[in-house]
Amino acid sequence: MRSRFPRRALRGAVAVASAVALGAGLVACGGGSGSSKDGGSQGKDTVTVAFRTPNWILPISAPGFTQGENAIFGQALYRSLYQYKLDGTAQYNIDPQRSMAEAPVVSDGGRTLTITLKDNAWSDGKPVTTRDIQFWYDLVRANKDKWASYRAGGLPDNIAQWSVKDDKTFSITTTKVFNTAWFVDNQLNKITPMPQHAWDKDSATAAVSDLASTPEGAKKVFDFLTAAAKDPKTYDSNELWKVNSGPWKLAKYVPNGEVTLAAQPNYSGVDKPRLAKIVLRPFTGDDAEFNVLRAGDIDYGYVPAANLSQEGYLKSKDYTVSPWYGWSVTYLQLNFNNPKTGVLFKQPYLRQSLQMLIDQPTISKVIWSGTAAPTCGPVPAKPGTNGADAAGCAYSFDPAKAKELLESHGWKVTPDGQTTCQSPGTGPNQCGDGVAAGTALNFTVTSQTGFAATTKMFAEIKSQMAKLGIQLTIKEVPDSVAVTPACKPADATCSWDMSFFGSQGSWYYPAFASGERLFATGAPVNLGSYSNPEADKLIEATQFSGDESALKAYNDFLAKDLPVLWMPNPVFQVSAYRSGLQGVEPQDPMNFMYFQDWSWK
Amino acid sequence: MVRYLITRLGQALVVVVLVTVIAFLILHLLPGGAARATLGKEATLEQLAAFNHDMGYDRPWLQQYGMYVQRLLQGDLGYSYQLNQSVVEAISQRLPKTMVLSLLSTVLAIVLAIPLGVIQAVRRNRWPDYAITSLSLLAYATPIFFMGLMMIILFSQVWPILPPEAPQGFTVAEVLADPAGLVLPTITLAIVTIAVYSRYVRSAMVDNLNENYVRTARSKGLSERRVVLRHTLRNGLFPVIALLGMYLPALFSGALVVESLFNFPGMGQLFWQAALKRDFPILLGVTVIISIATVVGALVADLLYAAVDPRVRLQRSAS
Repeated sequence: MRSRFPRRALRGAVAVASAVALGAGLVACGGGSGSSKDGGSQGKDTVTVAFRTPNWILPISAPGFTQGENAIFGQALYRSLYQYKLDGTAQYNIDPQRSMAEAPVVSDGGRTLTITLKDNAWSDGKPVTTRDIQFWYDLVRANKDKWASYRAGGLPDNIAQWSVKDDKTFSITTTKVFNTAWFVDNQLNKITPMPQHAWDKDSATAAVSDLASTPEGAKKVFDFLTAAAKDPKTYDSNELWKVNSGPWKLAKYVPNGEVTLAAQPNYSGVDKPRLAKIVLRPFTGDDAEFNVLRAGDIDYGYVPAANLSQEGYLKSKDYTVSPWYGWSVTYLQLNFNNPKTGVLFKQPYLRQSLQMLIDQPTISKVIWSGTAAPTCGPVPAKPGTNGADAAGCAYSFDPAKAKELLESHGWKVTPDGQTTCQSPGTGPNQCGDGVAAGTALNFTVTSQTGFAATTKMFAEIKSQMAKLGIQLTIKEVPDSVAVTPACKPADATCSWDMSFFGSQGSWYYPAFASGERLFATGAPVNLGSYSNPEADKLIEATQFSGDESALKAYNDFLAKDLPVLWMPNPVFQVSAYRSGLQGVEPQDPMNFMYFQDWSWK
Repeated sequence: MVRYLITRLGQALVVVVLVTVIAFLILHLLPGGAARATLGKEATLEQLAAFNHDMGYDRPWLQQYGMYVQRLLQGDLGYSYQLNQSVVEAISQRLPKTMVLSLLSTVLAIVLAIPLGVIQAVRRNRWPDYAITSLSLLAYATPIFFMGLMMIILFSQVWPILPPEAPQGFTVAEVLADPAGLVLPTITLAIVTIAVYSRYVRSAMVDNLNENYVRTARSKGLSERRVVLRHTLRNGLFPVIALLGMYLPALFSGALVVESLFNFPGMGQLFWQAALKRDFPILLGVTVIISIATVVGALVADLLYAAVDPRVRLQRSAS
């Protein structure tokens, strides 16, 4: 039936629809590009950086707030006593230009370090003195349980005496003789002068005093400062945070939003900022970031692994694409305490066989598109490079040798089937202590979601292992660390076999790459509960012996003993920045960003 | 009517309580703890224990739930360690953004879908109907992620006339101050809704155009325009009213994909990130808000239905 609805009314309806669509378009064209105006095209005195919103400002970090963005943000506002560079040119890796003090002078057989401050001032003009460092120490000592960096036996427990000589000089006497390089790089790196003349009080209205000089007072001051740090919406307005020692000051802070740093005009360091403003823009995810990067609306961002093929496009848009190598290692954690499979992981030959089934060079080249490199041991390869040469690894990819090793230890290898223990016992040709006859090699890997390369990497490893009858089940979860805790065999949470959390590197070291936090018995990040007295001895030597070969001995031993399975070490990120932006390189292997070095050509 | 309202509000309260109990139980059944997820792999056992103690996670879950409800009644939804913000602050920061985007896209969808549905009905089985139906099905079948990506590539990269990200401000004023930034996310979100709504309007209109009351109206000599717009359209809008009621939760829960794509950190992103990081206070807070929005949405839809459809009123009076 032909409709009798008049054409005029129809045209009206169409007009309404068109008007709305057109209106939206006109708004678009008329409004201009809102985000573009803050982006890279805005002028030569500002840089817009893709950056997660930092959410901690106090230089004493609280547990849960140790993320990289907080460290970079913190350094921008409050310089550490020492900053480091790994190019091998400086004593104890101390960066002489950026550090606030001269390198320590060691005396008393290595127990006392005397430190002299350089001439530095707070942004309000007051000089940075030993009082400011003592203030930091008083707060940390009285509140060590609330300090994220505290480890029993570490700072401040390992300090026997803290003496202030004058405004410029203080000395630290340790409880034992430590390896100075370790102590300077991994302990003194935590010290950050804090403005005692502005912060030593327990309320916003109280007058500044010497309150923190007593433990009770230090607790009150710490609580006051922590409460202020837990109120991010006041970061850019609270008077506390307006006294800085760093090259930047906080111009604008939106919790979980954009943060603007402005050059600190009263900065006393030699590395003065060359730009007026740094805009730190957070993104909801990789896709959002990459879309904006492609559109040219940010000056510095990153190329998500899934988009590495678009490197050419970015270069055509005048971006420099540069991998950021970390001072890191990547590994697959084994749970030695798993009541079922732990006994298997305790067999060195089995760990060696598993390691020989991981083709690190090929995975690095093909799956990670060359942005990863083999990890051979616990100490990272030369900083600023893409890691080790697989030829130097103790166990290179060798399926034939892996098979031979299993068979020579009493296993019946069934390619593409199920390999089982045929010869139980503790003899040299038997499966090993605690391994029952018929035991199969079935393991579950708890891996990370959201990383295509990681998924492909484990598919490859699974395939290689299946060829020797070792069955891997890959389970991806958003946060593999959360579900694979260090545990005792009786714990309900101890059922995990292998855990991977290294899609952006498993572990980033401070300047001295010792393993006391990773592989020592009972260490906090020894999630797999690896324990070897020889390894403990070598790790201790890295901390306490001045012998420069201690680190190498430790590395060589663990490279062979396999406390974990060494995996391809991906770059921290593939950065993309406008070609006109100078000073970005070299990207710091310890993941700091020194915005003050950046400038436009 | 008042009695009906009281009964429905009572039911709503029961539903909200049940939702919080179920959400609470599910969160506590998740493998792995919030402590490790929040504090990271570097945290010591002492720090993990201190976190669990501070957050009350070391207590029996019934006790935890009791404490949660007690705080909830005082308007305290807890504190998110992950964000270093109270849950109320985190939600109130994102909710306005989400509501602006959802409202704009809904208004755009309604304004476009109703005329399109009417056109399809009155020109049914002819080329305008076929064309709009085809486009609707295409829009409906296209993943919103792909649609958004195409929008960005076309209008931000090929023809760079619109920004690829939504406004970055957090207040309504800041968001509205950047209208250009709102165009692509609004249109992306609206397109699928337009497709759905226009299909509903079309079928309701087609049904109604064959009803006796329409024939009666025509036989009384009313113009076709009056028949369609004054008599048929009102009845044709019933399904849209029902859909709008059910859309209320979406107003609060956000649109995860669009938020992710256009860098618009709203409620959807808040919930998703909290789920990934086991941020229990945020998960519970958003769940409570959305469950309240859902039951209120259902109630509003019923009331609107009753307001526009006398038959519904009669049925309720009779019952």
